[in-house]
Amino acid sequence: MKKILILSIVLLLSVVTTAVAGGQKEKIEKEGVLGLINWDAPKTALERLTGDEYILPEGWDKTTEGVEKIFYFNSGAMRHDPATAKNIEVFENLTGIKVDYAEVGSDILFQKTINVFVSRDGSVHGMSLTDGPNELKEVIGAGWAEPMPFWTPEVRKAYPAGLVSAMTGADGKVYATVDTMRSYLLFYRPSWLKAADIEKVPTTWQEVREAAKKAGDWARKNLGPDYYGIVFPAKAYNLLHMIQAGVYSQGGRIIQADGIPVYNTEEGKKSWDYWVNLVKDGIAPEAVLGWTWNDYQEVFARGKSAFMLGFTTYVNRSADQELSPALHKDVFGNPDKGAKGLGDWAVVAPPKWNANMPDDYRAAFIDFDAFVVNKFADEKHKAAALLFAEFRMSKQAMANELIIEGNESFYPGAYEDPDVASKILYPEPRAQSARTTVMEAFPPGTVRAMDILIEYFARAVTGELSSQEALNKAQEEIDMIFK
Amino acid sequence: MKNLQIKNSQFGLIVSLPGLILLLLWVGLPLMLLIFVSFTRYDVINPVKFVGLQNYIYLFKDRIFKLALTRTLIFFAGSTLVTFLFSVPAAWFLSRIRYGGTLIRTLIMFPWAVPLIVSGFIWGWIFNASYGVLNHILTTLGIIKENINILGKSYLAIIAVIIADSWTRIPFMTILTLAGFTSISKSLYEAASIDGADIFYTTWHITLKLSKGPILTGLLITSIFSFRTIDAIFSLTKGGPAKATYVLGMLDLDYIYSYLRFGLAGALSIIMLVLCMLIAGIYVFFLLKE
Repeated sequence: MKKILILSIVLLLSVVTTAVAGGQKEKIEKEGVLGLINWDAPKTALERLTGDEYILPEGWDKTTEGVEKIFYFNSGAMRHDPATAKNIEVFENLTGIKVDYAEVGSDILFQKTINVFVSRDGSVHGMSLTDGPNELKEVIGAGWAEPMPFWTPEVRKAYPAGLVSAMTGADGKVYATVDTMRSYLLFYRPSWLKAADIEKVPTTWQEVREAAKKAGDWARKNLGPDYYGIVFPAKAYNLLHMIQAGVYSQGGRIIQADGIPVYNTEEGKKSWDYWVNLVKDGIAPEAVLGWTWNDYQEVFARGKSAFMLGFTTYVNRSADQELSPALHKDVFGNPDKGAKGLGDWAVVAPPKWNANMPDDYRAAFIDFDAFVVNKFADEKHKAAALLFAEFRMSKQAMANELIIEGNESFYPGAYEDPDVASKILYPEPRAQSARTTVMEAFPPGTVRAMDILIEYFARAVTGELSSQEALNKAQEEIDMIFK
Repeated sequence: MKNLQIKNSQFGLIVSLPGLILLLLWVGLPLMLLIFVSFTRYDVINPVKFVGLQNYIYLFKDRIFKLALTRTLIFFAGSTLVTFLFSVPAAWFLSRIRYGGTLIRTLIMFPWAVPLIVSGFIWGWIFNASYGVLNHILTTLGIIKENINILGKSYLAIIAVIIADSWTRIPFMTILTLAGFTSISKSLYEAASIDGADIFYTTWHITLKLSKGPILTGLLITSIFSFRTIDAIFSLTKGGPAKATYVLGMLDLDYIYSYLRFGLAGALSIIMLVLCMLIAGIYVFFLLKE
């Protein structure tokens, strides 16, 4: 009898505990993050985000009570992301929530991310998507990302419309923010140009071709065979950024009115020919076929190329003597501090197609890593990850990205702050690039289209097909994906 | 106690059961799921739909599938051949080393311990057209005047990935072959020597012929692993240039992780499984014949 009584009490207690816990969980699930955090208090979301110092929203502490840390996948090693490290530090001090991360190489980051989503794993609270413009649409379309409630209409207006559109789902909700972003600038070596007797820094793609040819010919004659006029990546998706730069510099676009990407437009054909012929004419090496975004910029950093269309981020990297020692010497190997004391390198805004084009066509693509919050994480960790996401798009966090790492600012207002502007290297060409840069929202399936283009580009470069034949065949296969 | 007595065969079945259950759970069940997925349109955006054999039909008509199949056959044949050509002589020499054999055997195993993906990166640095050590050595020795773009040329890139893959497989194959060589009774060599047989005769008629079993086993393992490998290719060329090194494994990887077409990935995996079984069947036939 005594045993039955004890057993009954234990059973009753278990039922009550389960019911209470279940009720709390149900309450959180029912009210959700939106119900517990007031994103427009103590100030509006826009005011909280765009002040010199980020302000946490009302109710954040109750929502994240008990959350000691959040975990996310960082793209690459944190030692290459000093601004991210700084922003993590600020966020941790602000909230007391530790931000833990796994350093995942960009080559396998999307694969790891997909594994987490497909297995409905909630232990990774946030993810970076390296090829944001393309991968994001797939992740949103699959319903794996949590909508970000701080994207109020007012906030949406304050951020670049093209980027916001790329992060918006078919339901009109915004599902991401920017992890890091960068546009492109034309990098060149002043001492090399001088040695090769190139008087004017090119401002059009036609001038770039001429100058790169002259610089490459001179270097091969005077320095050795492994010096190139210009380098670019043709192994992975960044090749398309080069093609896009050529298209945008003529005022063209890839995405047509029906939302489908078309690469063999008049502008597309010219741009495709341009990049193919750079290799076929020996101005760029055939090795570009084996180079990713990192490889070709590494070749420039090693002082082996006169020109490159490189990420704005590489401004800071090039200025760092330890990371780019060859750029702190002239083309003959003698120490050279350059006109600005930053080394023998300089940048200008991306070129326009030819001299007849308006200066607004000095445009390239804007590439960004998107940050998404895992829909399968528990509500409290999701809330903490959303706070982290919101903080990272604030003016305060963006200023750190601009100054410390040289990434571009997702929040355009950061450029207008005189204090921030005074700490940026090469503010004028960067501001110009940021102003003219083009963001097109690519539909799901673009990743496959890019693979096709990369393959046919190589076939054109190696002479297997003529340049235009390769482009048209690629477009035929791309059409089969979308139509 | 009498009732507990069971036959040997029954006891064997009972002790095998846990392993069998695990095998069913970890291999059988996923395989069933894979077969099911291969008959669906499963692309994470549209609702999952049963499509019968459509995925298989699509693949057999697809240009990229045919291209990847050709590259796979070249890659697996090349890798198996290179592994065989290097490991058998290496095992032969090792079997004849009198001093330091253990140390050399240990050292030769090092590449086997290197993950294939790392092997790809290592060889990527060696082959790099701009700062690779191979080009540097060849230029310094005056063999070439200009750097060779190994990873940028289709016909050289496939050789490069075969080398990177074989490099990690040779040690295993060598040790397996060596085990075969050393298990041959010395009396056979002595008898052959008395009969006046030279080294070529004994190597061919005794060493190689009596080691067919271990060699075939090694080749079977090497072939199957090479057939489905992607690691070294992923880190070395990512399937390029112009898909010159794009094998079926890479296509499967792309269907899963880049294109998010799980149904097609499932069908491709099943095709690869059948092809692997065919290759294994050929080896098993010869092994059994032995």
